[in-house]
Amino acid sequence: MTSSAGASLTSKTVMTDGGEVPRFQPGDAVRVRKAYPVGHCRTPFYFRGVRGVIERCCGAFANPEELAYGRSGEPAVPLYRVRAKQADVWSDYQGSPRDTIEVEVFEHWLEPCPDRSPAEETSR
Amino acid sequence: MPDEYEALSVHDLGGRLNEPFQKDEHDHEPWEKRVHALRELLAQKGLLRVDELRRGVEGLGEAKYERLTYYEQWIASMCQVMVERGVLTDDQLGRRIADVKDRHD
Repeated sequence: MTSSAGASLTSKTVMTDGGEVPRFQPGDAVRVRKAYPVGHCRTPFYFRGVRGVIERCCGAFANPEELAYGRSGEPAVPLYRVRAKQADVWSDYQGSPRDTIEVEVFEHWLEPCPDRSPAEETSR
Repeated sequence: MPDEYEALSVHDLGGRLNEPFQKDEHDHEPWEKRVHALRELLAQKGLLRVDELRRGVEGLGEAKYERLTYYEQWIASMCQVMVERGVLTDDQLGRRIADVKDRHD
């Protein structure tokens, strides 16, 4: 059972139906945490540790990591569409440097990411 | 390889396959349709969430994950979750499977 996604996709400030205040807003620079939990999670293995920007908040949903064990998954967790450069995801990427990938990631997998220094520009 | 690849699970396929994707149009066997219907019924009754089913499939281990077909994976996962939830006992399941096996052997 999920809470409805009542978020506006275009407004600057996004509120979810459940009243949770999303931690991130579109345009925020974020990093996907590097963690390898043993249970069920929806953060793709290849996307962990990747830096990107918030493209939108998709609303808040019951946490699938908890639902996977028969628990309620409440309170609902904000879910974000994160956009990253393909070249930042795949070390051997041969396509255009402008190519991006968008993955939906739950809030507890994201950390704010300060602006990159020039020295960090190519690191994951 | 980075240390985190120790944690790579058999279902974490993103970015790992490097072979042509094989499309195969086929009908499902009647037993597969029954498995699918059973999953829907269990969901309606609040006995099985899709997340539990996924967790069960992901937890099958490499040998079973590779060997079982899609709906066989579902059955294995559903059995796991039903026993966890106390809907069935392992003993009930084991005896019933043995009964059916005897009838067919």
